[in-house]
Amino acid sequence: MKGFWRLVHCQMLMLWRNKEYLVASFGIAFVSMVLFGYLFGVEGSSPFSLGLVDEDRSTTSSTLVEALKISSSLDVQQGERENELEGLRSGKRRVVMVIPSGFEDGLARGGSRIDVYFDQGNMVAATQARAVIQAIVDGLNRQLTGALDPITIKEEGITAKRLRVIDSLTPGLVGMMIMWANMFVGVRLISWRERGILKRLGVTPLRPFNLISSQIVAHVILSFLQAALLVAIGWLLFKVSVQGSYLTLSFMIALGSLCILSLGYIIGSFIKKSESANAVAMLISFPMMFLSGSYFPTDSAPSFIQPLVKLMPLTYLNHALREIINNGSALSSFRTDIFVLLAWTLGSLVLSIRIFRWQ
Amino acid sequence: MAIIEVAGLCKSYGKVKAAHEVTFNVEDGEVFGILGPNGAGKTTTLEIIEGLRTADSGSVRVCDIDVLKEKRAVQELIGVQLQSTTLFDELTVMETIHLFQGLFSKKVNLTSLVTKLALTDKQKSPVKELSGGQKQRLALALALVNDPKVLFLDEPTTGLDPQARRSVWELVQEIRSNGKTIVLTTHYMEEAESLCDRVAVMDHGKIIAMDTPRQLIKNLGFDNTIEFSIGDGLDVRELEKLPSVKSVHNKEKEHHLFTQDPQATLLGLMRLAQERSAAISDLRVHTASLEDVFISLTGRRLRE
Repeated sequence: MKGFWRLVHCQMLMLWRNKEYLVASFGIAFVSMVLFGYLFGVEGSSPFSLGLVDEDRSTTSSTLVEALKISSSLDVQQGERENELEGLRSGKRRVVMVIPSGFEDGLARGGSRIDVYFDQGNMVAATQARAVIQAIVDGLNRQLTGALDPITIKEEGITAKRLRVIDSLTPGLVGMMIMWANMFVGVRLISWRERGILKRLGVTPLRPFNLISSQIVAHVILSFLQAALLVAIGWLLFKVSVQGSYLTLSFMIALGSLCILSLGYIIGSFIKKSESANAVAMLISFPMMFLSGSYFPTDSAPSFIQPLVKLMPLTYLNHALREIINNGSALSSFRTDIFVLLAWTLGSLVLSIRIFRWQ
Repeated sequence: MAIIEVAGLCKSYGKVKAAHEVTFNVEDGEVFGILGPNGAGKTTTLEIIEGLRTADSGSVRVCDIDVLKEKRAVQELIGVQLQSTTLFDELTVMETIHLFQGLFSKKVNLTSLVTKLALTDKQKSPVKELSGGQKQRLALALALVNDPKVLFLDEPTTGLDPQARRSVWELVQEIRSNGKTIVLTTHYMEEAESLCDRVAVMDHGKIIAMDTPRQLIKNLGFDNTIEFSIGDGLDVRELEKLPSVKSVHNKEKEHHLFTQDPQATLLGLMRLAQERSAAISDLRVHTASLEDVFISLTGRRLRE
C-alpha cells in the first residue's frame, strides 16, 4: 500500500513537472476565465429587455406575465408578436417570449409550451436568455407539479438566477480543464511502453492493475486540485459562487475525470505509437472543447452537429457542473448526465482492458 | 546448491528459434556469464528467467520457485538490469530509486546504496540529465533496491567508454564479494573472462559449450592463435599442413591458425609466404581466449 502511494506521488510529480500538461489543462481554462470574465461579465448584468407576448390571455398566462415583470433582472415590455420579433431583429429586445393561445388549456391537459426567441449570433444574450428563461420555466414546472397553487411564481426563483457570462462560463471551463487534464493518460502509458519503462517495471513485482490505478488516482487528484483552483479564482475575481453542495460537485469532478481517463485509455489501446495517439487525442479534444458547451451553449447549434454534441461526454459533464454551480441542483436533477458518463466510463474501460497490450 | 535451474527451455518467434533446449544451473554465489554474439538468444533466455517472457516449453526455477507459476514471488527476490534502461525523465535520481524501492517488500538502506554506486552528488538531478555511465549506475542501483539474491545484468557494459566499463566491473566484483549470485550476458570475451566463474557460450539459441573460462580455453587443445591476412597466390589448404597447426579457420582473406608451438608455425608460415610471394599483413599472435573458443566452435567471430 505504501508502494502504491509512492507510485501515485511520483506520477503526480511527473504531471506537475510536465509543462504541456499544465498549460493545456489549467492554463487554457485560467486564461479563458480571466479573458472572458473581464470582457463580458465583471459588473452585475443590467436587466435585459424581454419582449413578452401573451396570446393566451388566460389567468395562468397573466400570472406568469406579472411574475416576470417583478423580476429585477428583466426589463419586460409587453406587446404583439410581430412588433416584438421585429424588436429582436433590430436589437431592441434581447429575448422574445411568446405564450401561445391554448397555453392554459394545455397545462390542464398535462403539457404546454412557451416559445422563446433570441438572437443566436449574440452569445452573451443567448446564454443569459437561456439561463433566465430556463429558471422561470423550471420554477413554473415545479410549482405546477408540486405545489397547491400552480400559478404563483415567487420572485426569489428568478432573481437568484441572474446569470452573467462568467457564471455559466466557470463550470464549463472546469469541465474543459477536466478533459485536457485526463485525455492524454493513454498517450502517457504507451510512451512508457515505447521507451521501455513498462518493461523495466515488468521485472518488478508491480501488478499492471496497480500501475493503472495509481495513474488514475494521480490524475483524479490533480483534476481536483485544478478544479478547486479554478473555482477559487472564479470566486475571488468574479464572485462566481457555487450554489450547490461541494460534495455533489466533487462527485461530478471525479466521475468526469474517470470518464475522460477511460476515453484516454481507449486511444492508448487502439493506437500503437504515442505520437499518433497524441494527434488523435488532440483531434478528439479540440472539437469537444468547443462543441460540448464549455464556452457557449450548443443546443442551438445546427442540427447536423447535434448528434456529435449529444455523443460527447463533456456535454453531459458541463451540463451537470452548471446545474450544481449555477442552479444548486441536487444529483437527482441530472441523472441522465450521470448515467451517460457512467456508460462511457464502463464501456471504454472494458474495451481498453480487452485491447491494450503491455509489450 | 543450484539457485537457478533451467531445463529444456525453448522459445520461438515464428520460424526463428530464439532459445532451443537451453539447460543450465547456476550455483549460489557464482558469477555466471552467457557469452555469444548479438541475436544468439542471450537476452531471450535471461528475460524468460526474469519472468518477462514466457517459454514455449521447459522449466525455470529460481530459489526453488517456479517462475512460470509464481512470477511475482521470483521477482521479489531478483534484481534486474535490462539491456537498455529508460526511466521517467521527469523524476530525479533519488525519487526514482525511492519509487522502485516501494515496489518490493524487502528493502535496503538507500543512503549506503547511493554511496556505493557513487550517485550521492547526483541524487537531486533529473534522470534525463545523467551521463551514460551515471545512467548505468542508476540502473544498477535500481536492480539492488530489494537486496536481491540473484542479480541479472544484460550486457551491463555495452556502449560504455573503457573507464565506465572498468567501474562497472569493479562494482560487479564488489557485489559478488557480498555473496550475491550474478548472471550476466555479454559479447565481450574480456568481460566474460575477467568477471565470470563459469561461462555458457551461446549461438543460434543453443548453448554450445559451458565451463569455467580457463577450462573452455584448455579444452581447445592449443595455447596460441596466429591471426593474419594474406594476398593472392596461396592455396589456403596448404595452411593446414604447416607445422604444429591444430586447426585453421578461414574467412575470406582473414585466417586463424590455432597452434601449440607458435614459433614453429610462424616459421613455416613465413617460408610459405616467401615461396608464393604472397604478402602477409595484420599479423598478430596471442594466447588463446574465449574468442578463439567461439571461433573454433562456430567458425565466426563474436562480433560480426
